[in-house]
Amino acid sequence: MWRIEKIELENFRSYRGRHVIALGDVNILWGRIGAGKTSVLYAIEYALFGRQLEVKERVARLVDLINTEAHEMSVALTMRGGDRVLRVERRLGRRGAERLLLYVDGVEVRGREAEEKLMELVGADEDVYERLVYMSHRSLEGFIYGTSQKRSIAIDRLFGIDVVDGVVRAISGVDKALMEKAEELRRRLKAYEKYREVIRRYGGIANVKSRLEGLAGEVEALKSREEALSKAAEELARRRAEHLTKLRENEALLLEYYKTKSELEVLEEAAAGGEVDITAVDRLRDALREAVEEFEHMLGGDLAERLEKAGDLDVLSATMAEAYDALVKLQRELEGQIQDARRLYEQYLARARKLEGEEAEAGAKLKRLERSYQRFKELQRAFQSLEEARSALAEHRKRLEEVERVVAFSSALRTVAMYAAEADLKKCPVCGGPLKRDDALRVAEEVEERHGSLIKEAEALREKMRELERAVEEMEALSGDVAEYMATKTKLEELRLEREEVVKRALQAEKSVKQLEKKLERLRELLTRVDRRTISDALSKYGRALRARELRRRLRELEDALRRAGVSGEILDLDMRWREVAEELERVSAKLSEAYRERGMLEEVVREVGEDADVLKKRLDDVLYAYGRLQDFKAKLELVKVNTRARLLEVAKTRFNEVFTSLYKYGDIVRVDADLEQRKGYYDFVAVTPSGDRYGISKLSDGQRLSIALALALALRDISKINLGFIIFDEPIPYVDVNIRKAFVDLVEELAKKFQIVIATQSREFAEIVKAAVPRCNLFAIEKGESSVARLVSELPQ
Amino acid sequence: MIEEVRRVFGNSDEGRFAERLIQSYREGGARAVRTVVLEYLKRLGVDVEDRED
Repeated sequence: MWRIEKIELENFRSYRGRHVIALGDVNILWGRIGAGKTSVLYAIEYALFGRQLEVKERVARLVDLINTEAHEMSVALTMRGGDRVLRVERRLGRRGAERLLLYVDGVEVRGREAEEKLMELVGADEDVYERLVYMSHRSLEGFIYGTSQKRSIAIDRLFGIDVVDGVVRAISGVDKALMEKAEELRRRLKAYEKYREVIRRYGGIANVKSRLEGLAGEVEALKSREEALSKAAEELARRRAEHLTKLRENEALLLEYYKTKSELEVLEEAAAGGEVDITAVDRLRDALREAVEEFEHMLGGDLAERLEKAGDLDVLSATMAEAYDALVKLQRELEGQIQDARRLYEQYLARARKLEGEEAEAGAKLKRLERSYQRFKELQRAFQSLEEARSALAEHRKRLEEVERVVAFSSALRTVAMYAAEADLKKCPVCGGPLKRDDALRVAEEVEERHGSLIKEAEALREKMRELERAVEEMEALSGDVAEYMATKTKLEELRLEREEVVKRALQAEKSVKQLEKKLERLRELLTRVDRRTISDALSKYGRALRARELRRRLRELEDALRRAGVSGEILDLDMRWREVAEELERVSAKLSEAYRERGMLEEVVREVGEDADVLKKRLDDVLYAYGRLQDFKAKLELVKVNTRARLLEVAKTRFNEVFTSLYKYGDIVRVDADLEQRKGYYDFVAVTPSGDRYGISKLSDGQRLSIALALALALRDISKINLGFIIFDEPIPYVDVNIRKAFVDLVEELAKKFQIVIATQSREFAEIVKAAVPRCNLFAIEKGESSVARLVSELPQ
Repeated sequence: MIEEVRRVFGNSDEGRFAERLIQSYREGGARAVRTVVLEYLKRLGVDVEDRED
């Protein structure tokens, strides 16, 4: 393992020029605060790693290592490990140029290769070096005097776990900033509620900001205007002062003049600078009168007359309003009438349509019955009426009966005659009278002759009867249809007549609707142009015009009067101009102070709110979410820390006891059990006596605790396989009683058997105790004049 | 310790972030950690001013 032979410093911190410090096995650097002890220790660290703790922690810059009087510094460290020699040279310029030269057994290595080689040979990085080689009072005090928590922090530092605490602390710093941010956002949201109405009025924060920007320009413009007006008012006042006597003498006239002028200006301004057309009222009156006359039959006759005659403005106003109201009422009535007429028209139209339908239905029925009717007519033409046909039939039937009776008699007579002839009867079988055959034959022949014609007649009668029977039968069958036909025909005629009447009435209703609509349209057109406001405006303008006319006349009179009193137009203009400028100045000043007030309020809104509520809420949510994530993260890191403590303690436990027993020679403690307490995960040390009694660390003496601390550090050194054979104690145990110092010296004696020791202290007493206990140690007195100087001494100077 | 970080955080972005923080602390102390945390917060949409207590 490498031990330091010598340290060469040139312009390093307080060491101006070149200095060489040759070290032995045990070395004490003694000097007051700021003498240069720590610089020597920093030089060792700088030589090995190119940095040192203060630089790493950003307390100092690397160039701060250069002596204030110099532009460049260098450190050379010569170390020996058995037969091997390692020399490290580092150089640093104010402009930041660095150079490393490494000589390994005389062989030079440079640059990056030199850094890597050096790291390999040393077997430790700066972190391990600061924890296990360079021991300050910070490393030991926490362990010896602290609470369980402080002791755990000290051990964490030895283990290199303190980095977790460092990270957690750094995160906590950000946590705080996050909470402040959240608080600020809550404050802004609260302020948003306070200014909600103002922000709403401007349409959002963006518009508030935009208005604020705009206000800057407005304020500047108003300021310029105010300044210009002030100057103008001053100048006019100066000129006016020359005519003050005349102006005061005619103050009453002037006041009336200004009052009249002001009123006239107001009236002219209201007329938008133009002359008021006073015939507008007459036109309006005429239009109303014409309308009233048109509807005279509905409105009564006197209204038109009253409109015509109204001369006074009040009477005219009341009459025009009355006419307007009457026309509006009339309009409503006409609308009602149109509605009624239209309803009537619709009803007639519907009735006509219904009648049309019924007509069509009757027509169809007539068409269907037409054939039966025509057949009946045809039969009528042949047989007259049904009654006639029936009578003819009865007659024919009677005649036929007679003919058939004659035929039957004739037939019987012929049979009797034939029989008499055949039988040659001599007497008539009917009457008993004499009979001859010839007579009988003749009678038979005569009957035969007459019988033929009778048969023909009977046949003809039968034929005629059949014809009459058919006709009667058919006429009887048709008589129902014919009656229906006749009735339908009558109804059809009635329907047609009614429909014609209804259509006529519908047309009349339609005409009436059109007439009413025309009237209403004219009325509407008038009422669109004319309403209460139009009338009121026209009358008001009319009144104003009359008033303006009167004021102009009075103004001219006053001007004449003033001129006669010696107040010329020029003086009047000057006074008037002065008054105008003064008034405008007042207005501009009021506007300016209003702009200032608005600007102040908006600045407050922007300062206290800054953004719209939804943006603020979103940002607050983000901040709270981020805060939650960091809390979770820190909790996990705490878990990492405790787990790492347990694992590292397990690894170091055995070696720690070996080192402890080799350091601690008093025999009252045979073993120290190291573990983690369950509740908070702190380190727990229990000393075990030869009799097996167990003592917690709080029951141990400071010296015993110091031994445990060093044993732990050395055990870790062993485990870490560091190739550095020296231990540096930078003010290891200040402000402690003599017993602890004695204990520490005893430990140094033991440590010196294995390691090279370098102790820096400002305590004369401590340095002397060490020197007394280890007589071979090198005692360096470090003093500071223009430069720090390290002198090897046998006794410390007074 | 790094093994423990990986065990507790798992193979996650958060784990890599934890390793990066530890590395940053070793190289540049609390300020370096703050810088990394502030970058992380920026990714979460939160802009916090760097300020040493």
